Amino acid sequence: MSRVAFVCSGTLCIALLAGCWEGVSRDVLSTLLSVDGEVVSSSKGSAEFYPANSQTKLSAGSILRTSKGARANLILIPGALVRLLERAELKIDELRLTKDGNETGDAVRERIARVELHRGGMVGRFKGIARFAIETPNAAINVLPDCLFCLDVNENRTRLTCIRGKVFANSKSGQSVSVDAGFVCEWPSKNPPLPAAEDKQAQTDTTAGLQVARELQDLAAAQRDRLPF
Amino acid sequence: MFFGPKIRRRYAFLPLAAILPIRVLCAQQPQAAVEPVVPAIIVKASSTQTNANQFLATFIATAVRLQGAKFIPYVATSAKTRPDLAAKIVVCALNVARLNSHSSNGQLPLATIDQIVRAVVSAAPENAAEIVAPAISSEPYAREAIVVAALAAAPDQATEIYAAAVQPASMSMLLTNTAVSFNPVKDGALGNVNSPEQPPLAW
Repeated sequence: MSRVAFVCSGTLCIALLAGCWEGVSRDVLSTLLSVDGEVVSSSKGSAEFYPANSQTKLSAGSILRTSKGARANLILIPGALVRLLERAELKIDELRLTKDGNETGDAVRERIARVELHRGGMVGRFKGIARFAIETPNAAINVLPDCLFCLDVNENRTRLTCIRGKVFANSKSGQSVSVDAGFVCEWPSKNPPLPAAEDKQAQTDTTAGLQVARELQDLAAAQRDRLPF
Repeated sequence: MFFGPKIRRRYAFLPLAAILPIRVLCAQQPQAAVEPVVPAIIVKASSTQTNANQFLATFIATAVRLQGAKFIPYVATSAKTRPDLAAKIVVCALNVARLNSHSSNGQLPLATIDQIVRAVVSAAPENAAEIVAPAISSEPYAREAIVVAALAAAPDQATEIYAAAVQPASMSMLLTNTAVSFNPVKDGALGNVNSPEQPPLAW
């Protein structure tokens, strides 16, 4: 009797552990929703830049650059919408999804988007379950789901305005900080996040970011309408 | 065998005991920590003392955290506090509602638009015309609902509301054309579609 119980419990353990299987991972491409002005891109390992348009597919290693007055709207992974503002450079480090074997339904176990913002500004709207990380010269940023934020990078500083949701960031000095909705944070700086209402630039970013989020959602909805069914 | 029968019986479920709590812990994702206190709107005696951008930034920061029943009263209170910013408040409120919405077609429910417009116009009825025009530009598909809500909230301003509602028609058409790309279903490439779902009547 006890042997049967032992075998049964062992079998159950194996069955439970089988649920921890990691699944199949695949690299995916981002979708360029629209471009406005002069936007160029390069593929992985290439030093040559070509004009980007809605047919351009950006994979891991690709770099997207906007010139003065230009902007680009893209979906990195489902739910992660980004607008790259003028004079910006974005490098895609990793776009990956992990799915459960040959499932073709909703059995996606994990989505990962990792990008580097070398310079310029971007507005991000992240709604979904995934890991969305942004590397900047001064901080590494982890965006939590259901978040809207503005990010601005130049040679000296990285500045983040969180409009909705929450963002975790680690500065290059190793300092960790969480930035909540309605707060702005800057690196390098030892100051804690400030309320956006107390900062002129953050006030403008908040109002503009909300409008950009709306436009990104409209573009994403139009992209869905384009599907052949 | 290394173990006697009693020991085996005692330890038979040990692997299960070790794994089950882990599974239970995995299932119980930690709930979101208590949200920090939102900076309150700064209300001063004179509206000119408070910077418009500062007010709007605070309004947005608070509004994005509010869902359901608390959102509309907050919009109304904000518009009442700063009636001069009512036109901007209505657009921000509509945009925030879009963030909160789970709609896949990029459109807000008409009931939500009705509540927002009604709340803002009720709070600043003298600015009804200035509120209606940007609201229609923001949600052109809901022109009729916006006008009806504004009229219900400020019937005395009917003439101004009708006049404001006519103006942004051409602008909203341009906005729609630039934002939405070619869609064979909408553009009639598939012929006449006979569907029980009809678009809202144009006002």
